[in-house]
Amino acid sequence: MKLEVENITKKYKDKTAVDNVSITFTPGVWGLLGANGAGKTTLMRMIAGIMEPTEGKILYDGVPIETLQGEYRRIFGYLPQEFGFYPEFNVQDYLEYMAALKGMPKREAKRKIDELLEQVSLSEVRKKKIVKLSGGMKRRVGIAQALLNDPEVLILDEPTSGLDPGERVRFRNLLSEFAKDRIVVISTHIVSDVEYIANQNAIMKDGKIIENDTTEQLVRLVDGKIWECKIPSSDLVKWERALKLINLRNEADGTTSIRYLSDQAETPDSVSAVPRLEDLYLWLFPQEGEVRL
Amino acid sequence: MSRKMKEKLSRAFETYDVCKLNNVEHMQAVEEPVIQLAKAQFQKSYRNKNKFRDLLLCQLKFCGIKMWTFELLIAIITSLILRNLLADPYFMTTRKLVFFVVCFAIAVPMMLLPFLYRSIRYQMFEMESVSVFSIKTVLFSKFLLFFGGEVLLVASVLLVLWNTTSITFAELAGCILIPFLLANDGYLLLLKKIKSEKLCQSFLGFGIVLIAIIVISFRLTEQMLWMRMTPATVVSILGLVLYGVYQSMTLFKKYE
Amino acid sequence: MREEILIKNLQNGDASALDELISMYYQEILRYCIWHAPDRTQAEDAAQETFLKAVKYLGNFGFSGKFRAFLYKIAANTCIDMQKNKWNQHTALEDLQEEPSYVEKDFKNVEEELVICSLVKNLELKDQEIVLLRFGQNLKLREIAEIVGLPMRTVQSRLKVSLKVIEKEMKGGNLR
Repeated sequence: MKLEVENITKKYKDKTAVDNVSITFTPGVWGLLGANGAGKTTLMRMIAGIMEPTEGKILYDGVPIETLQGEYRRIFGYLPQEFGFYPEFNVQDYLEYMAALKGMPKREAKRKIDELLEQVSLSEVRKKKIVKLSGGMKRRVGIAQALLNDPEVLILDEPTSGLDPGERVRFRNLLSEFAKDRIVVISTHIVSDVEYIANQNAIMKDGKIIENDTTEQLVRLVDGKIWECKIPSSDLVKWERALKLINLRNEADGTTSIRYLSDQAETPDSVSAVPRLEDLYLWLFPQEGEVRL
Repeated sequence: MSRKMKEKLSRAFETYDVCKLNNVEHMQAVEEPVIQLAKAQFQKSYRNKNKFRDLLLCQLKFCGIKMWTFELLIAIITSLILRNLLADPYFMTTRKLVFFVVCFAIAVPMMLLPFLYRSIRYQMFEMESVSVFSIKTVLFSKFLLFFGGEVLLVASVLLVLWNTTSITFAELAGCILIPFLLANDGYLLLLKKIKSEKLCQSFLGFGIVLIAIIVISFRLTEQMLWMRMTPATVVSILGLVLYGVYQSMTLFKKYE
Repeated sequence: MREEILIKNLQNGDASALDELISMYYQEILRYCIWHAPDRTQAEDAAQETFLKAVKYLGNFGFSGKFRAFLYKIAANTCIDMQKNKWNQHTALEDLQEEPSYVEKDFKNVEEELVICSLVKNLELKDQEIVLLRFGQNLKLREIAEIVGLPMRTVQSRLKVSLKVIEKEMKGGNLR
């Protein structure tokens, strides 16, 4: 089972959002990483079949998705970055409506909805209007909707925005379990979401895929470039300006532990650290850097 | 290319197949296992799927009731307004009345717009696009439901007018039906041809253009051609109805 | 008409419709695959794969004639897929067996016809497809347009050009 994206391009009058992207997705969790505006959402919409590419084609199981049409959408689950719902919908209504649109017979839909509400812990609020739910709960409704028809291909665009850390962990576990024998593509700029569950990652920049490999292979790119050391907290400002900091943590003894990116050790006591996907991301997209406390 | 050469070409393909096959009779024997395998695959992958009527019912439950309530409200309001206006001698001229009726007949289908626009405004459009039914079919189901309400709306207004004025039913039917059917058929055509993202704008544009045409034609003509139930009007009404049915059939069958 | 009924039954869950439906199309799809595959066995594989996929992804077909186009599209892509993976060599035309008992013509004609085939194989892939579908599979232009994903007018003009090219080669050689 595979999803082949062949030479997909999307051109607008003034810019090229996706530039000759070719990638083959196989079962497992895939991370699609990149900054905002890199073309991830456009690519995902073309994969979902709701946007026509300017050039190129997308094949599922060796058949172009335009040929499969409705049948492709039957095995497809999609959660866009911004999804909405009619204001009068409560959780149950919304899922029933989406189930009907996905061609699921009523009985099957009811059973599946009950099951999913349990899994995303929304059973108690099923009769509550979605507008009244918290951001995290809304997102969980969206995830439930994407899983309704037990899709073979699941595409999630920034699925964890608005979720608290606990919910993020639950989400990761849910997806890991689900992704066995299925293709799951998660587009995100929160690398930690996919770091531990994605087998392969594709990195997008300016509409192109610049890297595409397993997590292990990708992090090797920054091998020997990640350092950890302790600095006096009073020097923090100086070091912040001088180095590309990835992480910092204030210690009790007046020092700060820092993790930084550099081709060589910048302090005598710097120790080489094992690189993570997040480090790679910050190396590729320095302007996206966000120092974590 | 001459016919002789074309025949040669066709035969060439046949020869190629024969040469590759070596044994033409064997072809039938290979068919049977494929059929059995296909049946097995079918049993494995067949799922009960919703049909169009299930989509319609679902739309009815979640959107249709709202639509019909809205249309009922409009029907009541329009009837009340009409009754009041008809009492006014200024308004009572037949020409003004006919103009009102024709514009009303065109405006009614335009009321579908807010319901279509809802889908975009509440960002449901993307989700509805990833349905097993094509987005066009989903939109068509909304259109169909709305049309049901439209018919009742227009009929109620027609009845009010028939009761309170001296215009005959036939004349009223003539001047309501043609613009009404024209507007709806136009919408169906747009639904079929225009890309779904541009649908709202095109519907709006079409409605405005149609009203502009009506206004201009009223300015230009003295005759109230609308009113006469001539054979031409009957034929055009029938034609428009059939066209509408035909378009609906193709939209309904165009699942994909 | 018959096909519509069969497909309707199939969509309602009746597997027995496949008996007739596949019988209707097997030979023609096999012939299509024979053109693309290097040998008979792989052509049969491709044809089988085509029908299995068609059954798996059977959609809703409103009008008749769409099913055929659907089958061909799947067949085309199956052959392309197999081309990418399994098929390594094309059988040279000279290696094709010519069984006298099945070929009821004289040797010279067969040789000539195989040369015509090689002329077709020299065309650009899309043009090859169009000629194959028109003269090998006897499909209508409208169906061909749908299968290759080009407007009918384009298909018509490309076909004309291809035929001119073939004719030129045929006349230029020792063929008459």
